[in-house]
Amino acid sequence: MQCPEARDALLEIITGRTPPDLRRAVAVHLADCPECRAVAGELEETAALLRAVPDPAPPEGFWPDFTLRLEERIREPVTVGGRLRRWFRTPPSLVPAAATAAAALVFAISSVVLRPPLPPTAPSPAALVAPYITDSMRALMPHLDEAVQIWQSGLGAENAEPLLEPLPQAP
Amino acid sequence: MDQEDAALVEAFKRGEESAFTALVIKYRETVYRIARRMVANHEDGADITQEVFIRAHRALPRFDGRSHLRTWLYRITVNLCLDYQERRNRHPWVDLEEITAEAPVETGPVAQAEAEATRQAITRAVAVLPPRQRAMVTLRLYQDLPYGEIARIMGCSEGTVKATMFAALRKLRGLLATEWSEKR
Repeated sequence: MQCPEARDALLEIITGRTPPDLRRAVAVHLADCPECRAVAGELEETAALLRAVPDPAPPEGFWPDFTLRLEERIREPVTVGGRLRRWFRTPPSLVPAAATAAAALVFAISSVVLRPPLPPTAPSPAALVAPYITDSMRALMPHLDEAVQIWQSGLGAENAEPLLEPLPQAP
Repeated sequence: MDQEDAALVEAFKRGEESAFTALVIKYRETVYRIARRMVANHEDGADITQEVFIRAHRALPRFDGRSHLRTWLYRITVNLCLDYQERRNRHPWVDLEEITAEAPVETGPVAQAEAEATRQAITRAVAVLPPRQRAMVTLRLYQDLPYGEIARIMGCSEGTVKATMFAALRKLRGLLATEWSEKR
């Protein structure tokens, strides 16, 4: 038996039930392989520790209530709204946090909706250029829009320093 | 499929609602234990357990019996727990300490307090595992399911389950060793 095979079998032995012949084969391998012996020790100890944790049990009187509530839920007609509600339902332990997040969201939206209107701003460079670009120019230069976009992200950006004099008023 | 389960499923398909109640009574505690080991607290474990049986009730008329009813139910359970975990990961403000908060250290003999501290350390270490690893550890070590059945529940190969279990046990060992060395 080689190490990979032995370690595969070790998992079977340590975490479950194994036929005696497999156990014997693994024992023979472990006798000659200190590395696998160390791994076996680690796995066995960890599995034993994990198994020592008792099964979680619900509080007293939980099951009769559970069955009643389950029967009620099963009898409820299934509506699209109900399904959506369940789908979006937050685990109960998250309710306080979800309520805080919802309140923060309402506050953020209301502060945007209720704030006074912003003062009028100067037209953007793109708006200034737009009247000068005609259909015939577009037909001649199919990549013109792309070029304008590149310009807008660089020299034509709203906060870019102007290199040239402002354009004359459009006709 | 288990003969008793097959008979109950057939009876349910014929319209006998009490057959479903019998299935609930047979499997509710195991489903709860799996869910409870996967999620943070009793309430969420109980919610998932209820949802498992509601889904089972809806889908059972279409259950073809090719797999064990148990495998089918555990698959629903694990999938719901993984969904829950995903939702929880989107809300990282929930503290992992909640997991152990239900079992305070009892006042009493030193040995009892130490045993409780060990239990809490193990529970915390298991909670750190990625959800799929936690599911496999739960199904193997606590439900004693064969690797083949765990593979069917998890929707992967038996080799993947074994490799994941191996990695999970070694990781748990590392986590526990770190925790205990910090305390000493």
